[in-house]
Amino acid sequence: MRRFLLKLMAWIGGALGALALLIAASIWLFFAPSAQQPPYRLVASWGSPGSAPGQLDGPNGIAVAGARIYVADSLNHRIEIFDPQGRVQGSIGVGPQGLLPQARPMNLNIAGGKLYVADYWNDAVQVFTLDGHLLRTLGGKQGSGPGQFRAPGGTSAQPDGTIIVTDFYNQRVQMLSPIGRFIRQIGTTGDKGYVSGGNFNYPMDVTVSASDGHFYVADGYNDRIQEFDTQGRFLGMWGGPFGLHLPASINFLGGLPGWFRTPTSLAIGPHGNVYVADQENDRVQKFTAGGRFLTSFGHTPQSPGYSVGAVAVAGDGSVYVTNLASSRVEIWRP
Amino acid sequence: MRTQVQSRTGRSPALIPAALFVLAALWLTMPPAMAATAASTDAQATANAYVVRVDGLACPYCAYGIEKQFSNLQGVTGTTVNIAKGVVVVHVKPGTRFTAPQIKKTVNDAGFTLKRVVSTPQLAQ
Repeated sequence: MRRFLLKLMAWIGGALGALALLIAASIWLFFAPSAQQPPYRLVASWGSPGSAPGQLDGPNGIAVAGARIYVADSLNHRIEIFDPQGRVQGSIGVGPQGLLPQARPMNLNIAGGKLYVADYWNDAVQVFTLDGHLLRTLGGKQGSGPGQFRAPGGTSAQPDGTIIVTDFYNQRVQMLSPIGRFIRQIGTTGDKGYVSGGNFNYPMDVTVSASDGHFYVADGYNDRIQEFDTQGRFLGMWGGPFGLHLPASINFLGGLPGWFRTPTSLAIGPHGNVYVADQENDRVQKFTAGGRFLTSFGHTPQSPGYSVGAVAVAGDGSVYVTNLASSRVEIWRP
Repeated sequence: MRTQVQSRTGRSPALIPAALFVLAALWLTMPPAMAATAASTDAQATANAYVVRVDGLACPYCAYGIEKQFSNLQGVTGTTVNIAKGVVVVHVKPGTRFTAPQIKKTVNDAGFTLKRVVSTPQLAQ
């Protein structure tokens, strides 16, 4: 009897081993693309931990406009402005004006010559001029109704001014008019969606293509990127096999090329390519607008080392990355 | 001793694939957060703080989310989060007391799972 059981276990073990090998080979062949471009190299960096001008504490967002680099200095409740040499050009206070300066600016985006800021702490979206003058505050009171937010992670705007917000804890993406009127939402409020497109599991950032108004959402804990048209219709997704969310228990595959472990930030480059801050893999990955993997770069993964917080791309193709672990800003070039 | 091992191995070749099968199954079913939180238990207890272990912390969004949720409780003066260790230290005013269900609900509302309360102000004093 014992010998029979051992033989049976051997058969099961062997069959499962063969199946695992077959799956691994298939994944490697079909879902682990080769890089089409060489990796970028680190050419400059600046910053140190602290709260003095030029220092950073939790740099969770970044955006670039010309020669100005805007960095969300989350735990210092401000946005710092640098030039490409790392010299401080100014700072912008985030949060309720005139009240206790408690705010948590996260991802930043620039669209239509304005700076869009997601204030995670105050459940608000703030829009500034590039000189730092506050134009508008949307939301500001935690809620799940239309136009309300629960810890927004990122926001940007389409060419016609429509504002898009990744509403983190509400598990949805909202589209609002330029003055904040609710237009529509993608995803079901408060319900995590794991498999099909148009559903989210803690959406963290959004970036909009200035050329066609399509937008991309970093679907954080689904480890994927989703693309939508101007009306918010789902177009496609990527990150692992067909962008389908895999059970967290096999997320150890998320380090493969083109896969993700918690994508936290997005940016679109001058040629329409999409750059993703792949936070738990300590790398930035670059894709075509359609999601074809091009290359990746970053520091040696330290499971995770939090060397990548957010990403932005300048007009000359330089990629700016916030390093959370060392409170620095880095410039990477091809 | 050596003989014994050889003998056992010789009689039971099926144990190798079986063991691999069991190990693979364990690996596949292990929650990812366990990797981040399993090894460390050296939470720092302070006189006026609750120290709790939480499963699922993975990024600053998690840390800020749980900090924000605890900030809604009366008596909380600050929260520090160690993502890698899955440890949350909730600093409170002297005399502030929370019940276990209250802590569990706060952690749940932030989207995480309470593993255990490591220490309370009473125990730490």
